[in-house]
Amino acid sequence: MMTMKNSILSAVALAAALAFAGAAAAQPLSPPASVQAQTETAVIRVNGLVCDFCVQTVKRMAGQRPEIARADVDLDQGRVTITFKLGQTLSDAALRTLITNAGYAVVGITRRRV
Amino acid sequence: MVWRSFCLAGAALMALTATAQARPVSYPGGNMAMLEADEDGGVVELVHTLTPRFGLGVRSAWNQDGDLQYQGVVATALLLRDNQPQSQANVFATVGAGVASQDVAAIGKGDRLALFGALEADWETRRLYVQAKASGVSIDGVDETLEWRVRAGFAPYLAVPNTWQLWMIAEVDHQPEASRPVAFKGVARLFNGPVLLEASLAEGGGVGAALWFYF
Repeated sequence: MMTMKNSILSAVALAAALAFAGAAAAQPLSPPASVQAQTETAVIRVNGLVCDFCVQTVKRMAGQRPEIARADVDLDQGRVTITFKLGQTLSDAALRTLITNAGYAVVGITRRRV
Repeated sequence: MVWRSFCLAGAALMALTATAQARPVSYPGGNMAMLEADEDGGVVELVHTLTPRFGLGVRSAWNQDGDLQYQGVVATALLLRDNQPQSQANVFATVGAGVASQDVAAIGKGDRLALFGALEADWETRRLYVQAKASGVSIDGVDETLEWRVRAGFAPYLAVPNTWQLWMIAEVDHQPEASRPVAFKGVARLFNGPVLLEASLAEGGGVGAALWFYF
């Protein structure tokens, strides 16, 4: 009788432990928002991009900013995609200055975080 | 005698300073090195871009016979740039000053202050390109030479970045004081990233080549 009772208690305890573990596994391990770093990209629509030299110029100008991880230039779409380093960014005004100093005109900026 | 010699040299120096089209002003901190040679002589130029609209550099030029040299400084300003979704237009002004040296066996060596200036405008898309340029040279008041140049070109295909883009360009030069005031030239241009190459063939059979490198 005692053995059966122990077995039932053990089964209940095991079930509870599995349920707790399952619930814990269902919850993603996410750090507090204050320490969560994100990669940000800025997509800049640019006028005046007509040649490969424009690509080189924009990339070299972007390379002078430590916040920027990479810059991709799409001549067909007239678009510059700036990928920032983890947790870093530049303001719209700074991006406009960067593109303007490279010799081109900014039409618009959109951003997204990953 | 020296005066006459420099008069004759003016046209040659004009040809030396009338370089083919490339953007001397790139981006702040950027540099442009240029080497150009044809049947008249050669030019070497190095320009450092100080601001988005201003570049400063040095230029050395020589004629084919090697008896005329020029060394000086050159400043280029981007006066206007118009950026549109599919095109770009520019107006550049260039001024330079230096020493033109003539070394002819019959008269010995003579140095003269040489000044030159140019105003050029261009418009281009990814497929089309036109340029007009007016330039002039003055050698210490003893000679002044003017030249006009018009270029029009097209790209037969669109290259993806980091591959060679070909341009086919027709050029007309008008130099009123030259023995042949109007000259035609065909130019093939290859452009890949920071490197621009040109090969030209004049109607009289003269060939030329040019190299630009941006760094």
